Amino acid sequence: MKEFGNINTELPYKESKSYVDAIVEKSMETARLHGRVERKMNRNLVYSLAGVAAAAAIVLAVVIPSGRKTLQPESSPIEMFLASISDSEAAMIVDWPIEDIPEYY
Amino acid sequence: MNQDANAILQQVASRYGNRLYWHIRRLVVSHDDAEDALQETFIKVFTRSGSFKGDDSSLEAWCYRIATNEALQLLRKRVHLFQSLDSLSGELSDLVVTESAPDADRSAVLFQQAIMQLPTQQRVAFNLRYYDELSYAQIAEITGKSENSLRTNYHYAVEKIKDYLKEHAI
Repeated sequence: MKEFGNINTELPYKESKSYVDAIVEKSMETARLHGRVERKMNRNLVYSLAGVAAAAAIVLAVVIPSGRKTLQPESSPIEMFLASISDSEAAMIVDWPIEDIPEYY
Repeated sequence: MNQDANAILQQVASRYGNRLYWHIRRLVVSHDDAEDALQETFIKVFTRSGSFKGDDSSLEAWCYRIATNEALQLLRKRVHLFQSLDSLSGELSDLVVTESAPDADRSAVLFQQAIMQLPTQQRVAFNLRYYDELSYAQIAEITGKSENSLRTNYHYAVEKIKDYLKEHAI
């Protein structure tokens, strides 16, 4: 570059080309090692997350339908009817003397 | 995938490793910092090689972009909250003297100190053009700036460096 006359692109630092080449080589090896470890950690993380997701799916598949099953009788018309009457009324239904039903006479 | 990452890293290190080190070094000045930033650059090249889809010329720009970001990231750690990177110029200028070889040419030291006075964007553009001899199109790809603004940056950088050198009698 001609802008600066006799100043060329030489730098005032002392590191030689062979020294920098060695640093480049070392950095490359460390990057490979670091990259492999990082990828392995990422893979383990993915497996862990997949395990958690699978467990959550199983829980959802098993617990929610069984929960629904326990809720279902309470919301059925018979259950609603039984819930709306008192114990004595329920006892009357159970102990109804069949011969007292007028329609049968 | 891993094979590709290895091959790309190998290619980057053998083709551009030395240049990337000096590009980073000219920005961060300290050798230890340059080594750290080069290390981080290579790690990113290795781990992100899967996302790189381009030819050889864009590989060079991609590496330079990562290296520039790593160097600036490292400098950002030195500034206080709400301070710009430009506020580091005095510190970096002093560091040039500390890092220079005892028998270094005085004009080479002063020239680096003049570059450290430039705002960061101008400094990056100047270094990539003057030392790495990249085209404005390549520098635009690396920095994400337009070619015209880079030309202007370079022009102003040259003028400022000349003024600094005149002021310090070279």
